[in-house]
Amino acid sequence: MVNIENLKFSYTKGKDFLKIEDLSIKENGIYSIIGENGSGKTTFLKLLSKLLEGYEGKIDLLGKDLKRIKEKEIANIISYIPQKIYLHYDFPVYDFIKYGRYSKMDLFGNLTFKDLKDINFLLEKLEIEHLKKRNCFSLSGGEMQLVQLARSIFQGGKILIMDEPFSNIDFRHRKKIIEIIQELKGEKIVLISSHDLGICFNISDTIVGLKNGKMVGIGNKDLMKNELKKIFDTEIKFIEDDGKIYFYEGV
Amino acid sequence: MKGKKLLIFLTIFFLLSFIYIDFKLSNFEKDVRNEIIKMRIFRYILVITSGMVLTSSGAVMQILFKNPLLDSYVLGISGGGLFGFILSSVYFKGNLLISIFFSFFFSLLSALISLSFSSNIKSDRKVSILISGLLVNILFSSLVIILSIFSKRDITFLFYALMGSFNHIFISKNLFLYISFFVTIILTTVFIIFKSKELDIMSIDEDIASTSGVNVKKNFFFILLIIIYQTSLIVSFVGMVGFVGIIIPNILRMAGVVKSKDLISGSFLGGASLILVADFISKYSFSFEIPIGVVLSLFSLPFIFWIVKNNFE
Amino acid sequence: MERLKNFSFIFLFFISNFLNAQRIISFAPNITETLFFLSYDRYLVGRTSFCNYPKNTEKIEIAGSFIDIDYEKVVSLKPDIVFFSGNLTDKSEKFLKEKNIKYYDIKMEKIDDITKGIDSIIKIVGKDYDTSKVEKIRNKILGIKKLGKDQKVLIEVSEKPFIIATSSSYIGSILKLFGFKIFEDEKPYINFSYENILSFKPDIVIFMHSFKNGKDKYSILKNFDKIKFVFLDDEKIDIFSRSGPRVIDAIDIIERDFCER
Repeated sequence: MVNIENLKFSYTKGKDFLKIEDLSIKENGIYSIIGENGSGKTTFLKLLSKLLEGYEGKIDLLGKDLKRIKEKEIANIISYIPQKIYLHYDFPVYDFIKYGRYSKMDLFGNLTFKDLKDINFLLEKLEIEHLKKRNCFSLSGGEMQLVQLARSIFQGGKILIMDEPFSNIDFRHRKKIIEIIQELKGEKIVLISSHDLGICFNISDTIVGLKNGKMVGIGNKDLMKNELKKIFDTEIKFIEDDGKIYFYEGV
Repeated sequence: MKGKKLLIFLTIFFLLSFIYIDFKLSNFEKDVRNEIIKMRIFRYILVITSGMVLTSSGAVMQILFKNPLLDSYVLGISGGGLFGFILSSVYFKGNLLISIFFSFFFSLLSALISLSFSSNIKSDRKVSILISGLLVNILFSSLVIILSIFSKRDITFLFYALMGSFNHIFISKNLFLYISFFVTIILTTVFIIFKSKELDIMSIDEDIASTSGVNVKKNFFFILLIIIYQTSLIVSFVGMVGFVGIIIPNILRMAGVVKSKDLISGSFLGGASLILVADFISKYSFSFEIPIGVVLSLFSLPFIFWIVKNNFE
Repeated sequence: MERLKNFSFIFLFFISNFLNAQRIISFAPNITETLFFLSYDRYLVGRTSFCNYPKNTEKIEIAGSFIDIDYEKVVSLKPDIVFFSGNLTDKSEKFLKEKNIKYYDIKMEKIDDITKGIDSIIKIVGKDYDTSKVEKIRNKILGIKKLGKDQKVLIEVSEKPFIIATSSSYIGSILKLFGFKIFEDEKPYINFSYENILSFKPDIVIFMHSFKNGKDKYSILKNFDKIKFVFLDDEKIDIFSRSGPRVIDAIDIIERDFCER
């Protein structure tokens, strides 16, 4: 469903920042991308979301060449949650979620009755109904992330891309986000980049390691736990217990 | 702003409009009253349209650039427009259509200069666009002064052009042009209201907007182009009028108006009312008319200070 | 008798209004003075806020100021003729054209222009006037006698910025007729500097402003003690800056105060 061949991208000419020869995702599930700061995680996710242009190679999403996908079509393929969203002006939560289906809005910005019902259903499902009448500025980081997640789900992209969804989020909301993602994995491809190895290893079906813009390993957690030294250049300790894996710095 | 509040606001607005047109009318003899009313209505229409356009364009620019301190004046667009207008009136004496084309062209030029300046200043984007806008404004204001001296314009002309004045002389020969300009303003305004959903998403986050199906770049430049057209048209008639585009949208935001559509339509009413009051003061407070910019800046400086205080911590 | 007087006055007033239903607005004080001088004030319906001579002007409505004309007022006064004197702006011109009001810009910059200006005003208004009055001005100007010695006169218009009136200005052109040496320039008013003072070496300095310490700066000149300083009061400043019928007074003042016999 996601097929990448000979992908090359550079911010400055002549110096490849990202180079992925071959990567294909064939079924729904959770895919984590791990790597150091500056290893190209965000760039990779932005490339997939058609936010960066001027790459070489081929990216196929759901059987379509990314370069040929039209503006409004992308909304049905990709749902993107950026690393950090810095709101300059306040905005109502309800409308924030509603704009997820911008591509389906009429000229006046109205949605069909069914679409509006979907929002309410979603708010109920994610247990954030109480936020419906509030404005974004009054939300905590965790609440905002949930609202963002609701927006992306409402948008309905087949591929959900989340750039560092767990940073600066409190424990309760983190748990909730993980639960939601796990529910989604049957019907969507969920791509996550994160520094939280514990979450990545315990929820992902497949983990991708990136280092200096190159793919250093791909596979399930049993395979990848031995590749960590290659990816991070340092010894990472972990304990395995009851099928789960727990990382610690060991200092 | 819904229902009751809107009704109260509209009532105040109509009251202001009535006072504006009726003020001291009984001082005039009966046979000239119609003539005076005609003059005042023309001026009133100019005041209202300018108020609406300058304020809503300020609101839209603040959304586009994610900077609450912007309006057409701060970005240097009005300076460029005024320069173009005067330049054309020197070379093509008095042809309104050519003047407005020149005004539009130089507004566009000043906006481009302003944007390219700001992308070269390595600073907070909010600050850099303000600085470059200021520089462009100074540049074009100086050019306006030099040009006026060369073309032997009287100094009062400069005084009113640089600070704005609604004392425009309408010529009946140009009536058709005035109407067509008015229609284009209405049409472009309607267009911008329809674009308010794109503005909303773009104001949230450009990446989110992009993946939601909004062509951010195209929309950004297209909306900016329309704003520049509207502003250059108004500048050709009234000169440089600043600040109203900053205060009204920010007051609205403070009052809890956040969606672009509400912000823009609120700006229409708020901007028109403020300019109406300011023009009333500028017209009657002294034995001669003082430029509207003088009144407006006195009004708005405390607000501007307050907005800066809240936005650049 | 009193009744008859009143009646005849009202009668004359009506007659004059019917026959000469001209309505004039003057946007320059020297034009206002000229209109009064020619007894055309009965047609005058509007003036500027700085038209203050003769005293009767107070009764006439103000239709403008030194910055701009009051457009609504002009319309309401329904003028047939509007006069300017070198201060017609593009905007006013556009407005008067649009409203189909006749306007004239009577430029009276130098003393020679006064009689020409008066003649053209008479032509425009086109009504009877007292010929002897115009002749009086003409004769007064022609009667100016040149003084024997060359005295240099400097006319200070303002202290900060330091601006002087040249030979092209109204006051300069009068003094020149008397044979005084005035700073020559094409422009009537120019910026001046301390170096200019040293090279010009004036014998008489006239102050057309109320800054009394103005003479301090002339102490750099060797003949400072011999320089004659003349301070003009507000009324005299008006007389010397408005080229109009009060040129008679101007000539009298110069003969009385400046010329040492």
